[in-house]
This record gives sequence, structure tokens and C-alpha cells, in this order.
Amino acid sequence: MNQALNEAVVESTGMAVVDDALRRSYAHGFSTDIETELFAKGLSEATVRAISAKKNEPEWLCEWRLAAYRHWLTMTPPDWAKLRLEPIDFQAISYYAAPKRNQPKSLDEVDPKLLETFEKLGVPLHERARLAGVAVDVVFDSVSVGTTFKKELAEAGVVFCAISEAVRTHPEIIKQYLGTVVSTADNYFAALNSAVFSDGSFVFIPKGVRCPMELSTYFRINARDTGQFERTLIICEDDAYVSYLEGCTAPMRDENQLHAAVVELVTLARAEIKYSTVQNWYPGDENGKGGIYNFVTKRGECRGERSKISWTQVETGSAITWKYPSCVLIGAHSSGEFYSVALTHHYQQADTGTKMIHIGAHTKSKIISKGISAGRGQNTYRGLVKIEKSAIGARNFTQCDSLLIGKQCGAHTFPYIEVKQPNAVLEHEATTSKISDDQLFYCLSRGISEEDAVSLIVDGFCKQVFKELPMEFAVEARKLLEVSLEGAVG
Amino acid sequence: MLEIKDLHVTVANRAILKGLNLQVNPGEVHAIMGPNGAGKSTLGYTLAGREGYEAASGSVQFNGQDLLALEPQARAAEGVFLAFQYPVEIPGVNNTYFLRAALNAQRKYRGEPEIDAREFLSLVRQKLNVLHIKDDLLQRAVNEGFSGGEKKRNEIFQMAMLEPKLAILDETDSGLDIDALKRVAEGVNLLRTPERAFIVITHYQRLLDYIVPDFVHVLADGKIVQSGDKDLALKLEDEGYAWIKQRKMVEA
Amino acid sequence: MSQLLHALSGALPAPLREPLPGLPSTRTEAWRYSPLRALEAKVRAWGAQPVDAKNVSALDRSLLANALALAPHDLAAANGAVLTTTPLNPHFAAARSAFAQAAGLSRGSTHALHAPMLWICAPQLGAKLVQAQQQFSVPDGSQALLVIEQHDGGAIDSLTNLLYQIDVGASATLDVLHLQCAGAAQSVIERSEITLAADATVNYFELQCGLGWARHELSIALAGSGSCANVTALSLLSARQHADVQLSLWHQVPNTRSSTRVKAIADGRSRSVFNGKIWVAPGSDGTDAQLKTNNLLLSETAEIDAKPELEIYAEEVSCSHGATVGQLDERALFYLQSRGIAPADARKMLIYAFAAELLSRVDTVAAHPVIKQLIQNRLADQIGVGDGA
Repeated sequence: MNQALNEAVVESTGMAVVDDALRRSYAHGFSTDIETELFAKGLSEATVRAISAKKNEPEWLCEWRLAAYRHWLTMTPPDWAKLRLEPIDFQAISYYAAPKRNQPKSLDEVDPKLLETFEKLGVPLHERARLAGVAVDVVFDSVSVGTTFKKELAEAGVVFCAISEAVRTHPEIIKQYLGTVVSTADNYFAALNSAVFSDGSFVFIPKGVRCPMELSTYFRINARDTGQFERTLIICEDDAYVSYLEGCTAPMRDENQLHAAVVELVTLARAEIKYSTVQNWYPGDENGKGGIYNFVTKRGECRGERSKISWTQVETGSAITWKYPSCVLIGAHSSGEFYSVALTHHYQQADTGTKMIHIGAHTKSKIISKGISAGRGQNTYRGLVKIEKSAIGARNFTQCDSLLIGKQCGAHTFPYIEVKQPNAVLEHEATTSKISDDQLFYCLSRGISEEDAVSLIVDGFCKQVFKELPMEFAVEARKLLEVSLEGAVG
Repeated sequence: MLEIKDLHVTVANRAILKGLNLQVNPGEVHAIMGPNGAGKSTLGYTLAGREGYEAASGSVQFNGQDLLALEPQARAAEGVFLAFQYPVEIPGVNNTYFLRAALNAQRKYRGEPEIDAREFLSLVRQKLNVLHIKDDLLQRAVNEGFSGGEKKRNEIFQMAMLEPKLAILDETDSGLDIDALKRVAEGVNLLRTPERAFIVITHYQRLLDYIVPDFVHVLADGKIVQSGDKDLALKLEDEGYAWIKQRKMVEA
Repeated sequence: MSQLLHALSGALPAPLREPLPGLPSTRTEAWRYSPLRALEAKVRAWGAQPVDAKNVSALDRSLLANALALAPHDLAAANGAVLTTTPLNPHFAAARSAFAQAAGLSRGSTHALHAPMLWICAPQLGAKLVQAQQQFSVPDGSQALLVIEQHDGGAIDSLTNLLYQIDVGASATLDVLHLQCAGAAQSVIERSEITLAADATVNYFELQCGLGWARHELSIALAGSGSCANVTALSLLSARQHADVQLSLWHQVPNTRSSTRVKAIADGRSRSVFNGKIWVAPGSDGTDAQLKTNNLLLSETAEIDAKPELEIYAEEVSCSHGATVGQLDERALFYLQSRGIAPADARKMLIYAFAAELLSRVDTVAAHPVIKQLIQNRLADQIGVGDGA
């Protein structure tokens, strides 16, 4: 039997695993009963100082936070063109929540309740339990609980730790890069994040190092009336490479909770960062009650020549998603990619897309966006491709496809195209349609049930994006999509 | 096996089949010929259960069951297979995965255990060898970017894997050159058994040189107007469908 | 109050004068790429000169009159009608409305398009401001042709503020040929609102080729089942020209179709802006809407901004848009050269072909030679002459 056929069969076996997945609704909706240190609700300079003090931060960082806070006060919330949302009362949120018993020196000392929580979420922290090749950092509410494989990574010269730890251990790098990609004044939620950010991951890959394993952060919101404001910073020096994965869940609660993250990526010459997200925050119930407001600023700068940043995201959770993982292509021949699957069901709203800013000569970008709307979900692709005068020979290809399942959902596409360089070539295509009757009947006529046929066709629709995900994540993503679509048909 | 009685089918408010009768027994090959617009493809879609092709009156019994009362996927599991005139492309869905999903769905319906990867693989291998089909077809997405000939052979391969009791081939010869036609016909002949019946829908006699039918029916204006053996197909080839029309006028 | 709006409503007697909303800035989404600062500065420079609202004239130098055997009508002066405020762009609607009141124009004089109609909008020499509003209707089942020409008003700065509404009756067909061929000193702010009844069709062709600064909001409501809109627009820009086409197609009921092709060639320091929105109402199943915009950027100091939009609230639809920005096909250039054609000529040939291809969508064949000539002249004069790309 030749290799190709074997691969095809292996793939079909993988998919069958998905088929066998339990038919269930949001599976991560439980909460952990754990003693939590919680700041009083409300936001003021004192809150900002208290967070900074809690994390033993140097004076400069406290000042940096305060400057961001003062600027935030002068800003107005963005005008949500296509979103329906309740006004957010920023004084009704607690800005710091941490499990009390969390001062572990090593993973062995982590509160067993936390270990159990992550075990239940499918993210076991015992290294022997992890599949080989993935190091994990887990963030529970406002703090990092622990990071696996630290020793192995350190031997390779890779720094992978909580950002609050990096502030202490690598202050010079933090100082050099923090806020240089997404400034504290970038937008309303980025300013808020800069003021109150709690924890997140820090990754530093030095010159010439290819990170020996996939790095992964798992974010969990647990406490009530809190927000999560994580901050992630990833730097790849010359010729370095890393593949980073991010996952997230939250308990089912009736009120909306705010998640306002900032992620900054920097690649120097010939470096590459592959950043994958499977976003599964609690989406709210089928009547649109509760769910996470996911307002995220993610941006990468390809500063060095021939460097590359690739974003892949599968967005199935959150009541509202508002994020545009972007690439600023500065270095000559640098390239940016954005692969996205966004699914909205029930009353979910997603407004997502990317910005590709071409500055360097011969920069390239590629955008593949797949939106799926079901129930009363509203799904918007919003993107910008900007080709500056300096970007001689720049090239962009964009494809945005939307799939409609049901009569009450909406699918919207708003691409902005701005070209100032006559040598650039840009192509954009977008389509919107429902699942084709022909495809559906073809599957039925071969004996496949309607529900399975829909998930099969949807899976095929998302293929271009799934194939960019690491294998393990791809299976997870398919499973999520299937679960999220439950009840969308018929 | 299959008994169609006085079948009337209306598509988009137009009467297409107007009292069709047909009986098919196990092991028989029936060819249905007729001019364009006679209702040949409508017959295939109606038997397979396509939405919008519902019977206005008449009945279809399949192995003692009311076929028309079944959902399309149930008809497939009961053993009805339609080889499409225009096989549908399903981008991103792996051909092998699709087949395995179909096969297991049908087995589940029939209360049989699902086939595991190893068994499935050996079945695929066996059928590929028999049909002389290259396995690169299998790693591609369902029909996506296939040539006309590849699509038709993929239909035959699906038929081989799903092992239906009744196979309906809807203009499987259309758009094929002579070599591709021969290969497809050869595949069909290999699948002929004393239990399995075929309805071969075609516009041209050419295909029947390679798939020799037991019966030939001429479908015109929604009815079978003439039945005979394979010589009827040759007569049609010589005299064209105009002959049928004339004959009908004389009768009227 | 903005000087520009002040000037536009300048003919108002003092007691009637009410504050008008300020001008939109580029922070307003619909005006993102069309700053009004320069235009306002220009108007300010006109000073407090009284504006003669009736200083509008038909000029007997139509481009298409001969080809189509039409007689010019001066609708603006004779029949200007007050129109209700427009939802999308309140700023200029208010100004137009104020103007119409001041000029003593009355509501309700709708011009029925029974015969082909030629409408010329051009300032008389020396006039600074042309404001025109008109309502047209196309009777049920009829076939109509409307030709709109904007002509060069000479070297003097002028501003045209134009608004027209067209109701196309059931099963009627309307062809619109719109030639914007005014001079570089002229600016135009234009809004067209077309409503299609059941089974009505509009074929709208627009050529932007001479204006200094132009903004056209073309809003088409597909309000009747079976209605169909075919929109074709071509902008040929050079020097400091600014052309902004804001198209919106409102698929309000089931079973409507639209097909849009928009092309722009930008050379010199020009800027082409295109916004093309396809909107499909809840329940409007059976909508088929396709939009394509292709752009050639020929100079390092020119800019192309495009924003095709899909906003879909129905399920059984087939909607798509495509956008490209690029240069001439290198292989085609080489092919022509390999046949002995000089590079400069090959470029011109391909640029012309890129533009003229859209003529296949213009059914009024008698107009083809005139439009072709306009394109050729434009290309010969200014576009693609330099070594651009």
C-alpha cells in the first residue's frame, strides 16, 4: 500500500475520533471552588498601583501602567459598528483574582485542586502526562499557575515563563519590547490592558534557536465578577523559530465577563513565529445570556528581513469577539499570514479579521478567512490591507468565505484596501452562500445523515485553516466546531 | 425488487413523469433511453429522494418497502445507489473519509458494526485493484478538481465500496471519450452479480455496447413508450427518437 | 458653520437660515478617503459673493446628443424639486434642501421619462455653484434612456451639488449613461437614488474622466421582486484628480439580482476611492449579487482605496465580491512586444483594453464610439504616458 493512501486513511481515522466525540454542549462550564484572593471591585490609580505592588514590579513598570491608565481615562469606548452589547461598567469588575495557595516553587507544589481543574480541562500539568513535545504555561484568573518543561527549554536557551516572572528575571528585554508593537494608547482596550494587565506568557527565542517543542498557554477564567487582562510578549531574534498555541475556557455564568488581552510579537531577521489560537470562552447560553466579551489586540511586527509571522485562529467561543491579529511587515521580503475560522451560533457576535501593513519591499501577505453563521449569530470579517509607497513588489492575496446556516443569522465582509505602490499586486475575493443543496443531497444519497453531512461540509469548508494548525489542535478545533454547531440544522 | 407503478412527478410546477411503470428484478440490467427532456434524470432523482422531486401520485416499492416514504440517506442504506450525471464537488472533504463516513452510516442503519480502519483499508485496496483505479484519487477532496472521467470513475468506485442492491447510473457515459467510457463500463460489468440490479440511464446506444442490458425501455414525454431487448437500442440508434414520436402519433 | 455648507445654502433669506450640521471629517466612515478640507478652502476663497442659484444653463455642446439624436433639456433650472432629507448623507441633503427653498422651487414636479432624456449639468462661464435636484420616473413597462453629462465650465473653480431620484416602474428598463467630463477646476458632490419596482431593470454606466474632485453616492434599492441592477463605472484619473464612488445596492426583497463592475486607472497624483456595498435584507432569499472592482495603479504618487462590502441577513443567497489592484500583465506586454510593438504603445494598448472592456456592458451601442473616443482622448492626454510602473 503506498504512503499516500495510508495518510488518507490515517486522516480519516482522526476524523472518526471527532465523530465519536460526545454530543454535548459547553463542556468547560464548571467552576473550581478554590480560595481566591480577590481585589475589591473598581478601577482607580490605587487599583493599578495595587496590581503592580502585588506583582513586585519595578517602579518604571508601575509608572508605565499609570500612564496607560491616565490615557485610558481620556479615551471613549469604540463605536461598535455591528455589535450589540451592554455597556460595560468598569467599576463593577474586580481587576485581580488569584488562588490563595499559589506560591509554588515547582509544579509539584501546585494546589491539587488546580491540577485537578486543568486535568479536567484536558490540560494535565504533570509532564509525564503531556504528549511529548508541548510545553505548557497555565494562567488561572490573574496569575500563572505553572509552566512545564522549563528546564529542557532553558537548556536550549529558550525563555518561556509568566510575564510577571519575566519582569523580574529579564527586565532589560521586557523594557526593550513591551508596548512597542501595541502602544499603551493604541486603542481603548489596549490602554485598559496596559494599565491592569495581570499575567500572560513571555517567550524569548535567542538568535539562531529553533524552539525544540511547541509552546502553549492555557487561559482559564474562574472567579466571578472578574475580568482577565492577559499580556503576552513573544520575541524571536535572528533566525529563531517558535510555534505557540493558545487555548482558553471559562465557567458558564449569567453575567458577561470581560477578557481584554494584548499580544505582541516581534520577529527579527529571518525569524518566524507561528501563533495558533483555539478560542473557546463561554459563549453564553442559547438565549444569549452570559458569555465572555473577548476584546483582544494582537499584533506582530516583522522587523527583520525575510521574517514571518503567521496567525491561525479558530474562534468558536465568546458572546462577542472583537479581534484583528495583525502583521506590520517592515523587513524586506517579510511575510504575514492570517488563517481564521470564526463560528457564531445562537446570539454570538464575532467581528474579526486582520490588518496587513506592507512597509518593506517585496513583503507578502495571505489572508484566508472562513466565517460560519448559524442560529442568530452575526459574523463579520473586517480587514485592512495597506500597501505603503515603500513596499515595492508587495503582494497580497485575500480570500473571505462565509457560510450561512439558518434564516436569522448574518454574514458580513468589510475589507479595506489601500494601495500606494504601483508595483504591488493585490487580490481579494469574497463569497457568501448557504450550504449547497447539491452537496447536501450528494451526502444524503450516500447514506450520511443530515447532521453529519453538515458537519462534514463545514469541516471541508474550513480545511484550508485547519491544515495550518498543529495536529493535536486541529482535532480539538474540529471537535469544537461540531459541538458548537449542534442544533444548528433542521 | 423494484416496482414502479403509475408514477407521476412534478418538478417546479411542471409535470415531468406522467404515469411511469417499471419492474426490475435482482440481477437484471435495464437501460432507459430517451430524448432530452423526457424525464430520465428526474426518474433517478426521484428514486434517490432529491428534494423538489416528489411523487404527485403512483407508488414505488423496493423490496417490499414504500421507497418514497424514506429519507434519501435511508434509501441509500436500503441499497439504492445513484451515480450522478454531475457528481458534486465537496471542497476540503477527503474522499476516503467521505466514503468511510457513508459506509459506516449505512452499516449503522442496518444494525451492522462499524468497519474499523484496518478492514476499511483492505476493502479499499481490494476494490481499487479490481477496478484498476489509481489511489491518488483517494487523498483528494471529494470530486474537487477531478476531470469528467475521474468523477465518473469515482462514482463507480463508490458504488463498489457501498455494494448497493440497485444501482442507477444517470448518463454515466456523458462527457466521456471512448477510452474512459470503456473503463467505466468495465467497472460496472465487474460489479454485476445475480443479486444486484442496474438501471442504466443514457441518451446514446454507445454505452450499451459495453454494458449489455437485459431490457431496453424508451422514455418519452414522461412515460415508457416502448420496451424490448438490446436490439431496441440498435433500432433507436438507426432511426433516432423521431421514430418514437411518429409511432406515438400514429397510435394517437 | 462650515463655509462650504454656508455657501451651499447661501441663497437663503436670513430668517430661514438654520444651523446646518458640520461637514463630515475623515473620521466619518463614509468619508474616510475623501477629505473635504481642500474643497472647503476653495469655497472659502470665493468669499461672500452672492451665489445665483438660477445660474444654471443647458449648454448646446452635448457629447452624446448627436449620436443618440437627443435634444438637451435644462432640467435643473426649470424643475428642481425639493427632496426629502437623505438618510446617508444629511450634510449635503440639508444644504440642497435649503437651497431649493431659497430658490423657490416646489416639490413634486417629477419628470416622467417617456422618451430618451438628455440632462446637462454645467455651470455657465463664471458661475461658481450649480445645485440641481430632480425626480424622474420611468412608467411601468416602458423602456427609458437617461443621459447625464457634466461639462467643462472653463478654468474657473466651481462646485456642483447634484441630487436626483429615479423610480423605475414595474417591468420597466432604464439605461443611464452618465459622463462626468467637467474640467479639473470643477468639483462635484452627487447623490443618486434609484428605486426599482418588481421586474424593473436599471443599467447604469458612469465614466469619470475630467473632474478635479468628485464624489458620487449611488444608492440603488431593489425593492421589487425580480428587479435587477447592472452597474458599470470607469474612472480614468491623473494629475490631482480625486474620484470617490460610493455604491450601495439594497436587496430589500427576495429574488433580486445585481451585477457590478468597477474599474479605475490612477496615474499622476490622483486618488481613486470605491466603496461598494451589497446589503441583503432578512428573508431576501434568492438574492444573487456579484461585484468586481479591478484597478490599475500607474504612479507612485497615486493611490487606490477600495472597500467592497457584503452585509447579508438572508440565507438562500449567492453573493460575492472581488477586488484587485495591480499593474499591466507582464506576459501580455511581452507578447505584444514580441510581435514588434514598442513598449510604450503596448502599454497604451493594454491600458485602453482594460478600460474599454467595460463597454460590452453598455447596451446603447450608438453611444460606444463617443465613449471610446472619450477614453482614447483621456489616455492620449494624460494617463499612462509617463514611465509610471
